[in-house]
Amino acid sequence: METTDGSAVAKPAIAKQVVKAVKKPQFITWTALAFMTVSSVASLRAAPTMGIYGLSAVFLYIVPAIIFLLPTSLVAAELASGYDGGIYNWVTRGISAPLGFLAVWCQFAMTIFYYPSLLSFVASTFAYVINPDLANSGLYTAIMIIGLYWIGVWVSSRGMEGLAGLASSGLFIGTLIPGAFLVILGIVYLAQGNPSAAPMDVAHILPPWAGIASLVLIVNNFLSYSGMEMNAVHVSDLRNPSKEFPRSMFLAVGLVLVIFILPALAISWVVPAESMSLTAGLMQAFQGFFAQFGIEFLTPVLALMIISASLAGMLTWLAGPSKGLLLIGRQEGYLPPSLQKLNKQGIQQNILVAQGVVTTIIALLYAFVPNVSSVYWIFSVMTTQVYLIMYLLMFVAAIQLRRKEPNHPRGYKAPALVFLCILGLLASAAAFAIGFIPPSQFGGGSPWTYVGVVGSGVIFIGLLIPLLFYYFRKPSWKTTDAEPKE
Amino acid sequence: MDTSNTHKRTYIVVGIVFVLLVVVALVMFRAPARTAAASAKAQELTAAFELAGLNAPSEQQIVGTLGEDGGVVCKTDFGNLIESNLNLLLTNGAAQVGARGIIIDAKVLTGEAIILSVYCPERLPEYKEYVDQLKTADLIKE
Repeated sequence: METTDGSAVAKPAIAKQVVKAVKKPQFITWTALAFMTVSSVASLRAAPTMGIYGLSAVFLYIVPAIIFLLPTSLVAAELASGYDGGIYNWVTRGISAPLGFLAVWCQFAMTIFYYPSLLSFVASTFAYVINPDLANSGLYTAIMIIGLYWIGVWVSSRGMEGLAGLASSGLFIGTLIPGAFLVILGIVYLAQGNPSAAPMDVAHILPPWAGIASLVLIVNNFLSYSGMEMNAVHVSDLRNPSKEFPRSMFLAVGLVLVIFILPALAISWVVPAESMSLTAGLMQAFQGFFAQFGIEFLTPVLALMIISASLAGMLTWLAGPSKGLLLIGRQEGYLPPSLQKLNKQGIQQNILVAQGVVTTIIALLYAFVPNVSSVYWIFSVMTTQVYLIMYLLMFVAAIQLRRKEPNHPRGYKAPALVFLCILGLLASAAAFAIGFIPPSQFGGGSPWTYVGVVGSGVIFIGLLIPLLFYYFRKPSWKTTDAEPKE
Repeated sequence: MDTSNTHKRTYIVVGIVFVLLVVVALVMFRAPARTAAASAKAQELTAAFELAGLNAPSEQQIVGTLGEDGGVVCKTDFGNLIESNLNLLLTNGAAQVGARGIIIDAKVLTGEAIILSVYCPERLPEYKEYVDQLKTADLIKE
């Protein structure tokens, strides 16, 4: 297990900052934090989706990695090695407290529509192996989304140590082991003399240029790496944050790239892109892969493994943004005392419960109201747009902090930080702009209608709601021991 | 109560639930039977793919996923939630929070239409009705 207990003597300040009620702080190792980061970002779920592009999938992951993953990871590594608290504290110190709240709100808001879509994927994957008809049942989908979400809340509320352990286990069982298995089978397939289903020559490294559609594909792939910075909120759970966080980040970057690229390639060697059945779901591609080797009976095992990885990812998202929201809520009095309450493990249980109520309502609407489920994908677009606002703020804050506090101790200094931040800013702005281009699902509708719908959603979720929190804040809601550490 | 004992108990419970679910899934999962009729259908599908100028999967793959009756592809009613799941699949390469729609290659949609026309043609109209409204592009190099 990747977790250790530490004594209160080793790190008294952290125990005081996070929660008075914690009797003994729970530390996590840097490898556990790296695995949590990987769980938050990568899984095999994307492999069939990207496998259809063949060798071009490498290009489609590497270019966004250079333009977006590298700046995000290196900048987050520097910030976390110098400042506790994650995004809210970076932006609060670098720019201002209200924008710090906006940044962590944008990160939190991202998850509101993410849980139902993730859990409906889990529901349909499980249905694929036990009874495919269930995938179209509103009752089944609602029970799965709501039930799994609340189990996740229960697990999260038992403390960081256990959560880190489960996230690590989920990554190993649900992603690394089956991913390695897929890659080995793919290599065996080629070694047997079979031709690759997708051409693997130099001419196929670059995807064909299809104008705006290519731009949408490439730039939207920046978002594949969303969340690399999210677990920085747990930096104070490390024994030696300044040294261990950068190490954790570098391991996570390597693993994320490997997990995204190699299984997608392996699938493209064996399963032709054209044979994908989208209505049957992603598991059909995995079953086809296994069928090539006569082991399609293992499909349910893989399905459960992928489900475990998805749930591990969900756990990390439950624990991260809500903790950032709590910390700035306590520090600046943005959250009412009821939402600031912690359980005896020091977990922001009431925020998770409040979010659970919202998730339950959304899940019921998704499962039973056709008008909601048919346009649900638009909510994902809106929240990814909102999330990009957080990245814009993070890069500006990093430049500001380097300028305002050049001598502040940092365990790691990113090389050419200003260049990285400008690159990250441009990448985030490009992804934000591309978010207003209608995708396939919008069909032949008016692009301006789409811009209006997405824009209204961004304003409502990303600006109006945090403004209301800001407007109704009270100085009496501040919690004195919630000051961030340096 | 000791924290590490609490966590150990959580791991044990989660582990047991996982193993039980794997057993349930293995028992309930019905892999298509590799029969002569399934092979004949696979050959029919391969011919249809080739006629459309598409890259066909191997017979082993076709038989192992579609069997005689089209497997899950033909068992899934094209209802509202299926359409919603499909919309959530037409995305970029994100595996977690960053997933959002892209403009999909038409070839990916054509393959399924051929599968439906061979195994369960009665389901083709509702599928076509859905895909005909999607915007597509040419993003996969031949």
